[in-house]
Parts: sequence; C-alpha cells; structure tokens
Amino acid sequence: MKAPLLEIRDLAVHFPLPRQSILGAKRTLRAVQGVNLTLNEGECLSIVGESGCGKSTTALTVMGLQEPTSGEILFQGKPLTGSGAPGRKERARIAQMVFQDPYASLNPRQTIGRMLSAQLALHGIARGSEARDRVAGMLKRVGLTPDHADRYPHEFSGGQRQRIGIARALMLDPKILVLDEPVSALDVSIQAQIINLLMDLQETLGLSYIMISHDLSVVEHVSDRVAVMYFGRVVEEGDWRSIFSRPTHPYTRRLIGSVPDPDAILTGARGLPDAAPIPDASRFSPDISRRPDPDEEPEPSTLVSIGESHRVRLAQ
Amino acid sequence: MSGAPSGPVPPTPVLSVRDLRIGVGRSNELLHGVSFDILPGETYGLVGESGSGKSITGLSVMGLLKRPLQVTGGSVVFRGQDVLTLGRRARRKLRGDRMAMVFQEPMTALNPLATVGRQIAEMFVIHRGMDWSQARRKAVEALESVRVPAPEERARSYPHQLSGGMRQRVMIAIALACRPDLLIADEPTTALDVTVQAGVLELIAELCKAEGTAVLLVSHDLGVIANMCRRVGVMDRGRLVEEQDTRALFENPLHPYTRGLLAARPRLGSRTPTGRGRLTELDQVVTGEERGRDAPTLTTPRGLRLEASA
Repeated sequence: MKAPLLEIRDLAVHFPLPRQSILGAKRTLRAVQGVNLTLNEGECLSIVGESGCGKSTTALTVMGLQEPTSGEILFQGKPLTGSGAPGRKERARIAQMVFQDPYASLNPRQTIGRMLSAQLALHGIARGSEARDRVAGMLKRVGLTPDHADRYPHEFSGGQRQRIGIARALMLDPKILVLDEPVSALDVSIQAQIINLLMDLQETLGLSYIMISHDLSVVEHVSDRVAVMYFGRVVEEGDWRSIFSRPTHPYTRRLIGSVPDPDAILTGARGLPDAAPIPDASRFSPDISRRPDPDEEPEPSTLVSIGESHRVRLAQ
Repeated sequence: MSGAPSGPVPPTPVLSVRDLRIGVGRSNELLHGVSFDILPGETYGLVGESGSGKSITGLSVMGLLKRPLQVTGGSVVFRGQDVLTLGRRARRKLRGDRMAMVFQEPMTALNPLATVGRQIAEMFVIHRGMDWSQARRKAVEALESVRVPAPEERARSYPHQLSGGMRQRVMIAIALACRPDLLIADEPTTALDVTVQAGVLELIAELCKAEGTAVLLVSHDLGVIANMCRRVGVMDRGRLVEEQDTRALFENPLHPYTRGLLAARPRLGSRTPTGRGRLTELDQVVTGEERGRDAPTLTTPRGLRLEASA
C-alpha cells in the first residue's frame, strides 16, 4: 500500500484557560485531542462538526499556523512539525489554504495580478512577462479573464473573489488545499459554481483537499472521506457512503438529522438511515446527552471499526 | 387557529404590503413594487440571494430603514393602518409592541452593557408601563418560555456570557415579550450551528403557533423556509418573482429563477454511489433576460390551510 500523502498522528492542541480565581487550579482547553487522520493523494477529506469542535484548529496545525501541543503531522512520511520541520517557504509549496471570507483574505490595496505574481517572485519561480503569463493562465483556469489582473479586490463580486482566493492558493502548485468553509459565505447560486470549480480543479491538477464545513449537503456531495468531530475528538470516521448511509454515532445522527431538507419535509418522511450495529456491551463516547467540559480529562475511548473503512468512537 | 376558512371570504391580512418601492433618492430604485399579504398566524417566507431586497423589505415594514435608503412608494398596511403615513413616535410605539424583529447576529443586536434580564424587562416597562421589579419577574418568565435553563440566574448574565443559541433565544424572548401580532425574523439562525438551528426554529414555530403570531421569515436557506413556512415569496433583483404555498413551490416552481435556485442546491442523500456529478449552475437554468425583466409576480392562490400541515 502506498504511504498516505498526509498523516496526522495523535494530534493534540491545548490552550491555557485563565484561572477562575487567583488560587484556582490551572485549567486547559483541550481544543483537539488524540486526532488521527490520513489524507490520500487525490482525495477529499472533510471534517465536520459544530463551532468549537476543533476542526479549524486541526486545519491550522496542518498549515503550520498553530503549534501542536503533542503529536505529529507527516507529509509523504516526513515530519511537518517539530524540529525537523521544513521552513515556511517550503511549506507554502506543500499546502495552501482557501478561506471562508475571500474579501477579508485579499489585500485591498494590491491588484490581483501583483498579489498573484508576488508569490512567484518570492519563490524565485518566475518574473516579468513569464510571471504575467502564469498569472493569466491561472486566472483563466479559475474562470476569470487575464485582464482581471489589473483590478483591485473590491471590483469583484463574492463568487469572483472566492475564485481569486483559489487562484492565490494554487499559484505555487501545492499538493494539498485546506478549504475552510469555502462556500458558506456565498449565495446559493454561486455555491454551485465554486463547488464545480473545486471538483474540476481537483481532477485536472490531482489535488488533495481537506475541507472544513458544517454544510452536510455540500460535504456529502464532494467528499471521499468524512471525519466527524465533537469536542476535540473524532467520533466517527469513514468513507462518505458509510457516514451518510449508516450514520452511527449519536452525534453524527443528530448532525445529519438537523439539516433542514426541503425534500424530507415535503414528502413528510424524514427517516434517518439505520445505524450500523456496535459490539455488545459497549457504548458510545462521549455521551452527547450532556455537554462535555473541555477542561476535564476525557473518558478513555477508542475508535472501533464497525465496517469497511468506517470507525466510531466507543468507551473503553 | 385550526380549520380552513369557511367560504370564499379570506381572513383580513395582518400585514398587507402593496407596490412597495425602496430606493436611494428618487432615481435609484432598489425594490421595484413588491406586494404580498400575511394572514394572521401565518408564517410567510421571503427567500432570495443577497442583494435581492428581502432584508430591506423586512426593515421597511419595521420602519428601520437607514439613510440613504428610503421608501419611495407603495403602502404597508398593518392591522388596517398604513404605517408609512404614521409619525416616528407612533411607529416607535408599534415597534416591539405590536411588531417585533429578530436579527441575524444576536451579539450585535443585544446591548453588551446590560444584563439580558434588564433588556427583556425594558419591553414591559416601556410598552406595558410596569415598574422595574415587576418587569424583572416577567423577564424571568419570558426566559423560561424560550427554554433557557436556570432562567433566574441567566437573567443576571450579560450577552457575552451566553452561547450563540442562548443569545438568539434571548432575542426571541425580547421580540415576543409583548405578544406581537407580527414577528419579523431576518436570517434568525444563519449565525448558528445546524444542531442549534433546529432547536431555535422549533421554538419560533411553537411560540408563534401558540400565540397566533404571524411571522415574516427572511432567509436565503430553502431548507429553513421549507421547514417553517406555509407560504413563500421568492425575491430576485428587487422583485417578487413568485409566490406560492410552500409545497406547491417545491413541487412545481413557476419562475425559471426559482427552478434554478432549487436545482443549484446539493441535496442531502442525492449523491449516487457511482461518483460525484457536477451541480447545476443557476445560469444554466435561467437566462439573464428572464431575471431582470419587469414581469408580474407569478402566484397561485392559497390552498386549504389544513393541507399545509398535513
């Protein structure tokens, strides 16, 4: 078997919380704990969960924007974190990020062309007319025209800005794109265009995606594999079909059941598919009927395989 | 509130918007003659993309349009009275009492320097003339009615101490404090997680049903609209392009724009095991001329009321 493109091993990210009083005990927010994920080449891995579940923190550690407390991230078998980690420039050619709000992530005082070619110059890839050609080619690739290079971000619509955000991320030919809620700030009609563009690019460029989203219908549509996170841990993981046709962890079921779906309402039936059976005398972890305290040490639990590439977290 | 209206006489609408026009000055019109009715106890949805004019429609009904936007024509008849002809003082008396609003982002809509209990109590002091101690007791009751746990304690909290879902519940408690006839909810759950969204929508539906409050729900999310509304108006580029009962709209959309909007959404459970298909893009379904034209709103009459909940 080929080694995975990216491997997240036992990742934990903790943040110190303020003491409740001067003499109070030290408190930590366990934003991410014991997360193991793999991303294969050409695959789209989606991380879903509610705000505060640690999905963005996980993505930021992949990008090198957040130091992990423990655990490691390997890219093609080589560590991306710790002492042997590559520098920022090298990293920039491995993974790039597409942000939720494209306008906030673009420099308002720079033309699109300058912004895109700056990366090429910085990495010593191309200058002058060659850089211009590359920028023009990239703009065409994301569905814009070469003369857009002379314009400023405010001259574009939301959908066009997201296309620019994608072009910016792709300029250095990265292997991995981290998509942080790539369409949730866009209108319904624009969402479809951006999703189609992302799927086309993935095919033509052989990209791998880590997509963070709370929109389950989009996740179902584009993912190969899905990881469901709840309070810093992965509670269920599997290929998209197992997750959507046999959602098993109570949290996954709640998440899928909460999506307001026009069809289900109109046909009157909102049946969630059956859960996969879990071994006797075991129970799901964590118990979602009460809100876990992120400061507390979590109960011991493991991800147990319940089907072909389908795992769910059970208490030990 | 149940039962079909007997005979051909429909009930008098709570809100009747006629040929409403909003613009920047006289020359730049943004909303081009929107008309719709909301019956007592009805939940009416306005759906559209950003810039379609759905939010400014809601704001103009409340009288909260900000300069340079202004109403340039039409009428907004609320309980038999054209509110556009009322003075500022009279409108302020209506607001919060007979008509109330829930905004998208509760953190910016709530006062960060006052406890939530005080912000709810304010409604009773201003509109019901209660004294503060009595109003505070009512505020705790109001918090209890929106199912905030430990309401006594929560009434003493400040907005930043509450989660997003709890803040939105406080907003709803404030809006429904005086039992208004009309609740305008502008994207009430867009800022919330899906699991929290379901609870908040259910709460709005339940409380408004119990009190017979009419609701104008403004949203871009067709799923939320289908979940909540009995009747839906679709807005595009400052026009109401289509108005139908919810079921009819989803089963048989009349306007090409609505068809495009419905087709562009990936639906949960629609992906086939063989692979991922491309999504339909809006402009493959509807052409530019079809969208911008000055056409009448396509409507079908309201069906039997019973059918909607069946």
